[in-house]
Amino acid sequence: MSTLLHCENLSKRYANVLALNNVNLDLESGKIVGLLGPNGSGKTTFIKILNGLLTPTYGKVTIDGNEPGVETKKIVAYLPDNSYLNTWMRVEQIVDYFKDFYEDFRPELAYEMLERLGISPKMKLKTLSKGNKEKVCLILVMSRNARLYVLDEPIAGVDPAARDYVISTIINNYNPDATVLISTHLISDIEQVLDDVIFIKDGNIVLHQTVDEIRAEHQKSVDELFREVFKW
Amino acid sequence: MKKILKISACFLAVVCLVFSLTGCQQLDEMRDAHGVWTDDGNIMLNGTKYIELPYFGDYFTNGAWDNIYVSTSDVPLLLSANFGELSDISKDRVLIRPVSYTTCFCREDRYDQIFALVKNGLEFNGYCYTYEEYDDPAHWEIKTYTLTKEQVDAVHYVRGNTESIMISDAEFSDTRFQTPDFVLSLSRCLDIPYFIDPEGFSLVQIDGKYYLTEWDDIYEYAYPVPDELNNTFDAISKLYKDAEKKFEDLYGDVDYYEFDF
Amino acid sequence: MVKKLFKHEILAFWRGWSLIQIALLATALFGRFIQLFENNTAVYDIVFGSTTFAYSILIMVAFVGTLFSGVTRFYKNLFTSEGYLTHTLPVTATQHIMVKLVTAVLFQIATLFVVLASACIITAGDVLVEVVKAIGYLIGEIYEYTGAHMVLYIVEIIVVTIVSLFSSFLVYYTCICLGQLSKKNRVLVSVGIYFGMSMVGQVVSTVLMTFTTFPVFEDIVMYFTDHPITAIHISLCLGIVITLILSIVFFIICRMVMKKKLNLE
Repeated sequence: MSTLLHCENLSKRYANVLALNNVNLDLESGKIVGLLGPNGSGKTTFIKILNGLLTPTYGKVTIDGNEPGVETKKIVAYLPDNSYLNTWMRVEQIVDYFKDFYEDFRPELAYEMLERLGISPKMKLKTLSKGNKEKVCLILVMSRNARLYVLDEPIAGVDPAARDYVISTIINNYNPDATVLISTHLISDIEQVLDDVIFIKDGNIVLHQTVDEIRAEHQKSVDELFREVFKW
Repeated sequence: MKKILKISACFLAVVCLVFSLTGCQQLDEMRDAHGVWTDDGNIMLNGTKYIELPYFGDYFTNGAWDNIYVSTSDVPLLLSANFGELSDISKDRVLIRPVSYTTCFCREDRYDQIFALVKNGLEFNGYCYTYEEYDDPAHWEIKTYTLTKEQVDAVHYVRGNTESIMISDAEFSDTRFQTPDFVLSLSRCLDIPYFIDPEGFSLVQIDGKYYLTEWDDIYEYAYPVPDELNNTFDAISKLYKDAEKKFEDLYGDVDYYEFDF
Repeated sequence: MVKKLFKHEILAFWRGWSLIQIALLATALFGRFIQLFENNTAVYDIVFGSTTFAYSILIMVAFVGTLFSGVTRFYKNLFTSEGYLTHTLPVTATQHIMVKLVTAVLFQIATLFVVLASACIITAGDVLVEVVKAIGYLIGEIYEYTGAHMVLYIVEIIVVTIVSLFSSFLVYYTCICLGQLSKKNRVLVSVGIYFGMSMVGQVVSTVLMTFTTFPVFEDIVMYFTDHPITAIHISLCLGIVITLILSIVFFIICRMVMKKKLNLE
């Protein structure tokens, strides 16, 4: 168990809005961590910084000792909350794409999961339903043997049956030595798989504990504590 | 620098030309208008040879000629207009005269005939005139009429056998001759329709009577045509009058200069 | 990794590009085919005339289309939702820009070759032979006049063309990247920046033009008129240097925006 993610005084300012305020955080490998907070709390900003899609105004973050760049992108698998698939490719072409760029990608695993969903490699991405598109994105991400998985709202906008599928896919396919960071505001569905929980409010980390600690200390489920902390 | 600009312009011209060429037909037309200098100083035009005729002097003018370009043999077809020399070619394609030359080139099969006529100098023993035939304002053709032997004889008779009238000098001019019905320039020429000498007579008609007028340095003389020869001179001027009438029918009685094409 | 990037970039570019090129070649073939029925009727004139008209339009479309494809591909792949995938690839910003730029330029050069091939097709036969003869003659004339310099000119012209191709894309890339700096209506801002840059460019060149009319430059102008061969060398090399500098500046701007100021929607 070593420190995979290390944030030091991480801040991000947009014009007159402070999206992240002095975030200090360490994540160990081998944990499933929930990044929980309402919309606009800074979750997406934090995730974008982790992935090198945004540069911090102040402070630094390292993943496995490296600042976000080519080296971290090799070991970080990111599932954004909107679909990044272009419409003209076929399924097999996007699998090929991932295989070409990510050494840790396992195409056999991807095809296996796709088959179980009834999605054939020759299908064009634009013919898939919205739900299937999201599942394809998830499959591509989880087929990577990454060190850090960052999943931004993987179950928002997904029907309850599919939510189970998403969660089981995550559980069944991640590397036990890897860390999975799930950002969401739908706590109750995800609570049972989380090891650690981070509450983020207005750009500040207000809580970082294990699920067990929360239950012991506050005598509540994470969901209940969340509603309490973030009530209007 | 100028040459390079000229050459770039040629490149552009070739490109535009190519896009406007409608297949091979226009190429064939270009070939008909592209003469090539041969090694012996003659001209080759689309398979026909033209040999130099040692004639110095004037030719048919007023449009009885077309234009071609004559260039050295290395100049390609598309550049004949840029690198070749502008030349006149008679409408029946018998004579070619590059504009910078005082000699002309005669088609092989007519060479002997024409050479025989001109080898001792030109004996202008005939007369001709040109007139413009209009179909519409944009299309007119310049035509030539050569007088027949009889008509030539009639002209010579009038010139030789009638009393001349002086019609103008420094002090007076016969006003009748200032407003004739028409004026026709008769140029001297050979039997064959090439090589004219513009100096000849003018045929003038005033109130139905014909006169031949001629300049003699500073004096202009008129030779009245006897009545018995009126028919002959009617025949001579017929084509000219017909063309004039046609013009008037189309456009009314207007001065040429009022026309604005 | 760069090789993989090239492979996928070419694959993506090829799709739209090949359609236009095929249309162009097909029109050229058709244009050549109907010349077999050449005659003097109005029908032939209309048919052939409209074919050549369509053909010349398609040539313009081919070039402009390739430029348009290159620019839109840059925008879509890097700054729309596709960007979430692209920017998380283990590839640096420099590599992204270089690969897209080089691919676009290569396709534009390929377009040139396809257009030349189509021109040969539509004029195949007598006309093509005469055109080749004419061009050969003109080149001979130039060579007579300039001698060995002609080879140098050709090299310089090729270099300036290639550098201009690069800068032609980089201008648009820069406008797109600069547009990303604004919060809203990024595309509109990019367009505005493009017009702004064009205007600045116009003003700068007009000012420079008026400077050259000053008496100070009369000697230079005289020298140029007296030594045309050197003058052409100088102009071409100056063109290469200026375009190169501009390209480098644009590239740096794009890279800076992508590395430090990226903010995908």
